Amino acid sequence: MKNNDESFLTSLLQYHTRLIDQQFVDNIMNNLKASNKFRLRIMIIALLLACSLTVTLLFNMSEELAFLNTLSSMSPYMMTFCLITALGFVTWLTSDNF
Amino acid sequence: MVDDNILIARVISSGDQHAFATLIRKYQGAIRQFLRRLTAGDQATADDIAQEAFLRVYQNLDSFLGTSTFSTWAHKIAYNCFLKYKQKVYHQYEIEGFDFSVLEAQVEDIEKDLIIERLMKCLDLAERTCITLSVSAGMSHQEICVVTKFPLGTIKSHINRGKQKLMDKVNNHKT
Repeated sequence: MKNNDESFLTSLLQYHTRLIDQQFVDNIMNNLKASNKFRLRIMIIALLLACSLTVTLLFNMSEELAFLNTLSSMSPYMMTFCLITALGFVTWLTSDNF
Repeated sequence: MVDDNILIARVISSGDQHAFATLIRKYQGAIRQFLRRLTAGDQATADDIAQEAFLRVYQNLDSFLGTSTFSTWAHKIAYNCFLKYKQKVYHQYEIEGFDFSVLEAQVEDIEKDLIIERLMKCLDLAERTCITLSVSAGMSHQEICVVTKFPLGTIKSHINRGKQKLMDKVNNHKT
């Protein structure tokens, strides 16, 4: 009797239906595409900013030197803060989880 | 049917979306059923958590080391997503007004799934998880250990206690 009960319970606990739903797959793929697109946009914006900054500094060497002077005269705390912020942004940008 | 490792390699090396869609198609049934049991029949929530779990699978695929099967690894991620959801939303599952007579009737497979999902409400989360992974998903105790991080002895006692509770519920109805 106990064995009967146990086998009844075991059979009841099985997965009886196979859940196959193309809509479910499509939803996930659409979410993936949307997050990839968003990431690509942010990357492009960051790249454009970096390029424009580089070009500007290349054509204005005196300004670049002034910028370096400003950096060297900044307090170490401020320098560390800027560096950590920049590193954090790059890590966030390159991470797969954002 | 293409081997899982080949599909995973394609996703990691070239971001092949078709390969990932094939993986989802292959494992969506097991993961969604598992989560439906954990949520005790809250199918909409289970499907939402399953979607979140598959997104995490995609994001973390490069950290899959192959020390367990892909199925076990995906179940582990789904279980973690469920725990995260549970932290945010607390449900006090109560088994009220459950008609046990339906267990004796000849019912369709889909109804059997609905019945057992509701019956899960009389188990606590750990018992529900261990019973589903062991009996329904057919995992070994070692694999359940990978998914839940419970010690082996604890897993065995959760399964036995859970089965006993379910049997008592069914037998109480009969007497």
